Amino acid sequence: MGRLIYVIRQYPILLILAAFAVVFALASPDFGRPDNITNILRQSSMLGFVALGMSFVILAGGIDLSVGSTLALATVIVTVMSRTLPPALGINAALFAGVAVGVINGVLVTRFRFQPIIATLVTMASVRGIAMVFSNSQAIFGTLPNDYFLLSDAELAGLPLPAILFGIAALLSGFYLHFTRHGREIYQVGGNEEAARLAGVDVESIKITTYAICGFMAAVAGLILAARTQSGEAVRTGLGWELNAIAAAAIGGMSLMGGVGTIIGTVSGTLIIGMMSNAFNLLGIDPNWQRIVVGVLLAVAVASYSNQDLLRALRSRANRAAAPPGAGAPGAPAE
Amino acid sequence: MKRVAVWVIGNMNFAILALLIVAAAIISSDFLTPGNLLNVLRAASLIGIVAVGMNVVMLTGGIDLSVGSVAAISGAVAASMWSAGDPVLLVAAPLLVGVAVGLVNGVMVTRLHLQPFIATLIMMTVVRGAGLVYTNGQPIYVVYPDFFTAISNGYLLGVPVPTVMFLAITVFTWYLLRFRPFGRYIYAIGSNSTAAFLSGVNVGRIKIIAYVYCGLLAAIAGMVLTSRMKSGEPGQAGVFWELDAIAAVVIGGTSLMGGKGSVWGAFVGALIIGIVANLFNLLGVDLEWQQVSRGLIIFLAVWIHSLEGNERVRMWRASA
Repeated sequence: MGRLIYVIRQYPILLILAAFAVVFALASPDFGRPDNITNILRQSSMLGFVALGMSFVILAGGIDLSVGSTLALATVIVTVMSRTLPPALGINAALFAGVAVGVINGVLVTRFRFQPIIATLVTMASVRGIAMVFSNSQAIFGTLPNDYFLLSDAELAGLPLPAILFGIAALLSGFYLHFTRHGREIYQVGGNEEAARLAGVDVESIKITTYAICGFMAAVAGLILAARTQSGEAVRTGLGWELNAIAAAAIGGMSLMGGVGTIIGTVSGTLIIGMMSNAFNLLGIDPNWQRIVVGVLLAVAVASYSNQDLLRALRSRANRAAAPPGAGAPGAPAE
Repeated sequence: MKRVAVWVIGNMNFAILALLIVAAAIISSDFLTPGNLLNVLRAASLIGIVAVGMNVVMLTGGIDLSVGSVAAISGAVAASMWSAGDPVLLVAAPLLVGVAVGLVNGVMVTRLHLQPFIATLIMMTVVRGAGLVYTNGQPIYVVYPDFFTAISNGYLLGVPVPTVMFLAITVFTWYLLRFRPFGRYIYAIGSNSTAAFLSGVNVGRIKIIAYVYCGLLAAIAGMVLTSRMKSGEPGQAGVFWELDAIAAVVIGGTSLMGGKGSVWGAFVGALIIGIVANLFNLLGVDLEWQQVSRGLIIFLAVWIHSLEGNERVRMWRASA
């Protein structure tokens, strides 16, 4: 029990996640059904991969607007190459392309000293263009073998394969960020880049690595999406995903200034967004209202993270008001 | 010769623009015809107006992702106001909506301490949703009165009205930024907001005004768009305008860190984007390669501008 309280104090986002789950389960009887839960997990895992990659970049103080385009490129590469080649080759090529886009982002940011938003705006435009060139701006159907669709449809022990892959990726990411030297250096770079450099951290390679990881994750999401839609498409695929991924990380408590945030937060943020759109659909709420509610939720979440001192002041004032006269303010120095 | 080179580095924007126009004229004989030039100017005006507002916000070190949604909702509001037959509200209501969204942006950034990217991302989503809810997700088709149609189709002394508005807004904003205290405060905040605060600048209020100004200009662009389309499109209008506007501003050399750059940068940036798009159309370049080149143009422009800050270039300029 004490352990549980510790975890919740450490990660209040888990409590919010649970609260949302309970509210939705009460609001809609279909929400808690096993097949619906499976559905949510399968849906969320794609955005989840993108959000995980985005977390690495944001933690190091950057941002990546190109993930939606990378995702579209991955769907195009795997479908185009499967016309003549085995899909394993296409999968590898798509992943390689994702990493390549990330490295280009990283080089633009570190060597050319571009602002992250500008650097990834460049690749956002050009990478989508390259995907359009490869696919002739046409949707590509019928090239993928049936086995490939297992990437989205297969279930292991009742859990959808994409969700299992996402879970593994999240565990590895969390482990990497918290228990390896390189992971800690990512936090260091995001927290104070100059201090990290003076402490001997190779800032440039850390940054390039985070963008490469982000590109890789976006490509994985693209591969799963290609299996789910059984097609590849360059013009509309992945539009706006960069903003959803940033929103997931921000709801999870990640600061865009870098150095603050956890993988648990990002995973929770992803699940909150996924549960919300699922529950709203079940309840028959207008999707346009969904945008408004998600926006307001994001505002409340981020405003409460960025105004901790204000909240603390309000709380202590409330405590003082509640305490009997002469009891002393909580937190006052002990005699 | 050296003096020319120094001028070029000091006025990189206009040098790039001049070079581009010469190159375009050589590549395509159709480019330098009056009709085509007016086309370029008219097409560049909408994004240009938005980019001017974006430039003001970016000079404070902020960013505004909500401009596309503001343009969409302002068009939808204009269309529904004229459906109700009210010519005063037709003009006033969309502008008020733009001001209101800018105000919320500014308050979230300054009073709630949200990062500008997140605050305006929220408003981008919320305002787009609000526009769709307001019109029930359907476009509103209207027949606008003549004075309102004129803001997109009319001519003033042979120049399209949107272009006249674009130029007038740029000159006015340049005047504000260059000669009014408000403008000087904007630069002071963008260079060092703590220093500005300690010098007695009301940082919060100036930033809020910057976001309001940006929202107002986005609403004006949305009104021109709805006047041209003869409909209010809450879902389709203004999508990705924020990215186009940011591209125009950074092509013009304004830094995302704030404090550096001129509103003429946004003006030239919008024209450069417009000229390149026009040239590609004249030459019949595929849509796919146009998309690839969009990124490369931003890359080239930002890279050229980064040379201005290069140590060796600066030394060389100082020696001239």
